[in-house]
This record gives sequence, structure tokens and C-alpha cells, in this order.
Amino acid sequence: MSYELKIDEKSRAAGRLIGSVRKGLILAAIEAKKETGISQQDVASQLGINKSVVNRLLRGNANLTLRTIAELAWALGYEIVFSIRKKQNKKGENIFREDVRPRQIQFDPIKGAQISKRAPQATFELERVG
Amino acid sequence: MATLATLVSSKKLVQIGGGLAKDEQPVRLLYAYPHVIEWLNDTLPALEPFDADGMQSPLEQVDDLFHDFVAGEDFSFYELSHSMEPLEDGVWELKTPDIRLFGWFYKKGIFLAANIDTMERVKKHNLYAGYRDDVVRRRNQLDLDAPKFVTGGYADVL
Repeated sequence: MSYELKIDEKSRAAGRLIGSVRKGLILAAIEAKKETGISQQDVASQLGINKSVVNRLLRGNANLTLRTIAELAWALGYEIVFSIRKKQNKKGENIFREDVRPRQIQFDPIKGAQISKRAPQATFELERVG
Repeated sequence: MATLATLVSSKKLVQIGGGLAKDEQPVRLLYAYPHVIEWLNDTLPALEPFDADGMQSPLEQVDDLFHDFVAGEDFSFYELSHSMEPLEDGVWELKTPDIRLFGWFYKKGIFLAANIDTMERVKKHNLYAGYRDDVVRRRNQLDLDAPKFVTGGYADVL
């Protein structure tokens, strides 16, 4: 029996959504930097704010409003695709749903877990514009 | 020498579940020392974000971190989490905006958390070296099958 953090479901749902948004933006920033070389300073200049504000937003130290999320995505050359769906809550469900969370899992008792990379489960996605 | 399962049975380590949904499977393993679990239960829930604008409470940050680790999420989000110097000690610092976890990877995808504290306290009192050395000391004292840890970068441990 493993230990589970004592957190109520409401806080968990809110915290994980906020986390997934922030992580989506971080991924977009990393990808944009690789593809176009855009820096946090460039993003800050486009938005007319200080670089430290961009840094704080991406690091989770500042409040991401819907407006700042949209503006950051725009500055990075991304657009936000938002979706909301009814919660899947089948009692006793314990299956691996390839349609929802595709990935490859291998576990080697000697080498440890071997995990393929995939995007985080999120209720929104960032799509590259153009 | 003992396996992780043996150490859990003897209550020297505790396995952390990660709060997975019913349609998720654990693909990494996370363990902690009992005093870390006490801190999670007694100290973490009352903590406020260091930054007044912080969106996630420290409890929510740790919930997110544990989930992402155990569920096998891409950990590049936690880009600031890193192996501490000297690299050959194999001590890692896992970070959220407000929380710092110190520990090591027993094998690829298997992390043992030996210490936890707030970012504020660690920075204010410059506790990095102390925690790193404490991780090494605890690891040396732990009756765990050798080799006790792996070294390297992200690709080697995650």
C-alpha cells in the first residue's frame, strides 16, 4: 500500500490544470527557442513587459491569467486549442486507455523504468501557428 | 543487503503513489524516507506560495510533481531539477516553484527522496551543501542492494 498525498480533489483538479497550462507554455517556449531562436527577452519585448515577468510566469511564480496565457502563446508563435469534456469516472476502472494516453512502457527490473516521451495530459494544447 | 520492497516492509522507506487516475499506470517509482512523509503530512499543507501571485499552493505543486514523476510524464518541464555537484555523488534536486526535494536515483526511473524543504529556507540559509551531504550519508547508511545509485543526466535517470 503506497502513500498518497493528502489533498482534496478540488485542489488537485485546480492545481493540475494550472500545472498543465504552465508546462504547456514551457514546452512551447523550449520548442520555439529550438526552432526560431526566440528568447524570453524577445517574448518580453513583443509583450512590452520585463523579461523577469516572463521568467516568473513560466516558472510558476506569477499569476497566469487567461489574457497572459493567450499573449504568451501569441508571442511564441502558438495558438491555444481549448477543450473541456465530461469527467470519465467509471467506478473500478483500472485499464490503460491507449486512446487517451498513448505511450510505450517497458519495465526492466535491472535497468529500471524505460519510458517513451509524450506530451502531458492537458485540457488544452498549443499549436504552432502557420 | 535489502531490496526496496524489503525496506518498505521494514518501514525504512515509504512508496509514494502519485495520485494517479484510474486510467493511469505507474511507470516510474518514487520512495521517501519516513521523515519526508511526516513533513508532507505536517508541514506542507499549511505552506503558502512564496510569491504572493503564485498560482499553485505548495501542496498542489508537490501533488503535480509526484503525479508527473510516477505517471512517466516528460520531466523537461522541471528543467531546473538537476544533478547536484559533484556529479559523481549522484544526488539530485527536484524542484517546484516553492519546494525542494533532495535524493537519488536507485535505478533509471526510481527516485528515493531523502530530504524535503521549502525553496525559501534552502536559499535563505544556504542549505544546499548540507542537504547534499545528508543525502549521501543517509544513502551510505541504508542497507540497500548495490549499486545504490546511478549517475548521469536526464537520459540516464528519467
